[in-house]
Amino acid sequence: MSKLISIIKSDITFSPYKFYSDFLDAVSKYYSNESTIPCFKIVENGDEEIYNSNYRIDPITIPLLLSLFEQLQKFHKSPIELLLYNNRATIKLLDFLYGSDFFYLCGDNMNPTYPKGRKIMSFNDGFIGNLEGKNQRSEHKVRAYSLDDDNLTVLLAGFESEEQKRDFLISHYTYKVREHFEELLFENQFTLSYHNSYIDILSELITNGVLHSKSQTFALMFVDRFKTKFSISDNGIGFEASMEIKDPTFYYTYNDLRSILINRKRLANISDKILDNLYSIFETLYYSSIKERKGLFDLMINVVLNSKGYFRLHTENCQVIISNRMMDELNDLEINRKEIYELHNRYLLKLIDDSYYKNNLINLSIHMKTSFVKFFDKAIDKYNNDIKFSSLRFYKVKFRGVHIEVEIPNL
Amino acid sequence: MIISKIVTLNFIYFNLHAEEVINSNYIKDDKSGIYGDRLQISTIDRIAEEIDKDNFASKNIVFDFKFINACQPNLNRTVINIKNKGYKILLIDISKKLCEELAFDSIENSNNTLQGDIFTKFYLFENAHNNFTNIEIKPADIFYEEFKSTIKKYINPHSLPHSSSFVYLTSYVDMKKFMSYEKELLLFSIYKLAIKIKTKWQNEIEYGPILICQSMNSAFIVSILSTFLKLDILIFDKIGPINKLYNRLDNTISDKRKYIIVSDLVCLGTEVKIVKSLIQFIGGNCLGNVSLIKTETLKNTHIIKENATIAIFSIKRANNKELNYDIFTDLESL
Repeated sequence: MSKLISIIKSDITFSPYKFYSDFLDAVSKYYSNESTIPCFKIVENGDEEIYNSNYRIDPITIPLLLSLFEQLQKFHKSPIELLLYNNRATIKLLDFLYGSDFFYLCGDNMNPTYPKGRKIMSFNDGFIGNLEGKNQRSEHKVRAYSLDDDNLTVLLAGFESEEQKRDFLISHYTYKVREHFEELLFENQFTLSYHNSYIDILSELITNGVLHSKSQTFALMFVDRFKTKFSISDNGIGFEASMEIKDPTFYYTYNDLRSILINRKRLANISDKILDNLYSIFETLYYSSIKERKGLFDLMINVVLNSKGYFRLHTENCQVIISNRMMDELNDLEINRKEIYELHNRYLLKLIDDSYYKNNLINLSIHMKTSFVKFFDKAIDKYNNDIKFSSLRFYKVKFRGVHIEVEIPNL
Repeated sequence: MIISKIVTLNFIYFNLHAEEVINSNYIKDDKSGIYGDRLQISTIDRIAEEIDKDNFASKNIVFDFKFINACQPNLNRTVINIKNKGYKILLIDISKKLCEELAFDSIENSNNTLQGDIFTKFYLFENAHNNFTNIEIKPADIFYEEFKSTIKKYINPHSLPHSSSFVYLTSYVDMKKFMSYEKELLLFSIYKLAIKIKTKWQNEIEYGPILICQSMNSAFIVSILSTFLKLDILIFDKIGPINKLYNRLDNTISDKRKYIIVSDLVCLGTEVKIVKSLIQFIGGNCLGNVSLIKTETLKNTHIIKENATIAIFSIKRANNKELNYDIFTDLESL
């Protein structure tokens, strides 16, 4: 019998923070001591202490959980065992997970009404029954996407450039997410009026995920009265490796920003390896901010400045939380971005000549780089002053891939 | 398949929302009907391919943005690529916000017309004296002319009495042939009809009225309309021209639902009246009737609005001579 690792602790909401800090730590400890395949308990106390236990999960943790289990399943080449309990303490949790299609997705479901089972986990579905089912309105759904679905790998081969492939995938996922999250996108007047922004968020981030990860990308959307949340998680090559393969242009070469950041203020007690993750997040955002195409940077600005939301990027050991607490720096970046994007477009429209375009773009890129360095310095200062309210988080255990959470208040 | 392309002497017209509806419902299987409001790159790519393939004589293009509220990011690059191939592009009914998002606002033309938040005309070139800027463009007229000239080919002389009403017709509109040979225009027409239905019964649509057809031709139309409007359908076996019922009515009509009668062509409206009576007899609520083509045998002032058929093309006093279509009786004119 394998040793057990419990996922959700009593009286502690299983949030992404708990996932990155405590749960990953527990998994990592297991692997440093044991060589057998682990088995997971959905809740800490199982069938014990059913009158004293309360289990809560923040829905945006679900994609992270699936992403981790998929990594383990690939490593062990077999589905990971999950122990379920159906009792007074767990019934709400089961109801919640069932409503999100979690069990259909990670099990071996073949019923086309529900998401196709990805065979990541094995569990006894006899425990999923007698649910309260009071809340028929679904407010959260999790879905998985990969290039193996819908014959996408073959279809993508028909496109020459990387850009065409991206555009094709974004188009494809726009239609998919509109269908998959339809009831949430058109849930109320608020989501209705923002549904196009939400579709942009989901389709862009899922495309990034599947293109880079070459495996499953898990996406969840959650709506309640106060906010709309998205969580998109993949276990691909991460920011660093995807930046490495970018072709250099006359205004960007690999590590442009990082080579400067590396010599800036340092953080005490954080190893170089972990800091590398932080640099790679900044490098990716910088690259996206000077490109001729709209991408991750524009999406982030839109979420934080226009929708007053939070944008959290996690890769390996590091997480950057971008919110309107950094309004001044972000405004500066946005103004630069507008100039750069306009310059690209004017060139495409043949309104300006080659040399004007090149000279200006090089200058604007340098300007953008300076703004990013300021942004970085400020984030580091804040971290050194007060870790708790800092926009940077560093975790002990490495979690492969890119994990993005977006939270938008329903104002 | 591009359904909305209309080639005129001076320009080529494309309705982007109609193309998006076809792309999302029939190519991408998205099932959002005509309710989608964002334009995708895969749609504009299909249009770009069509433009490349056809090598039109006219180098002027009109893109109708009506009902498009958002675009996939970076879609502007495809449009600019078309422009860079030497085409003069006019965008009509495009919102100011969308223009800015697509970064087209760096192109200035004094002929651009802004009404409220909508550019009724936005030229994607800077020469304000280009001939293209003098051409008046009305999408409704463009469609009317295209439909008229196409349907003309399918109107044949006819000597027998009208099958369901006691009148004679000079000609017969061969709808079956029109529907088989003019697939693109037919789909565009049904799209237009769907938009009209949505506008007319804005509130009722939410409660899912049922689309009823009463002939083979209208069954085909209804099947597409149901995809566009996401409504259920009911097929009456046969009411006109040959009248025969196979089903028992009380099994198919529910007194709790509302119904919209769909026809291919309404001449004097006999079949429509039969279906309406049948629905009402069982207790169903008939919202109204729609058709691709209708004949307007009464003056505008004499038509009672509630009974009027909603159609995308009318054979009327202004065009019946040109179409060689008339209704007459054996009675002597006084």
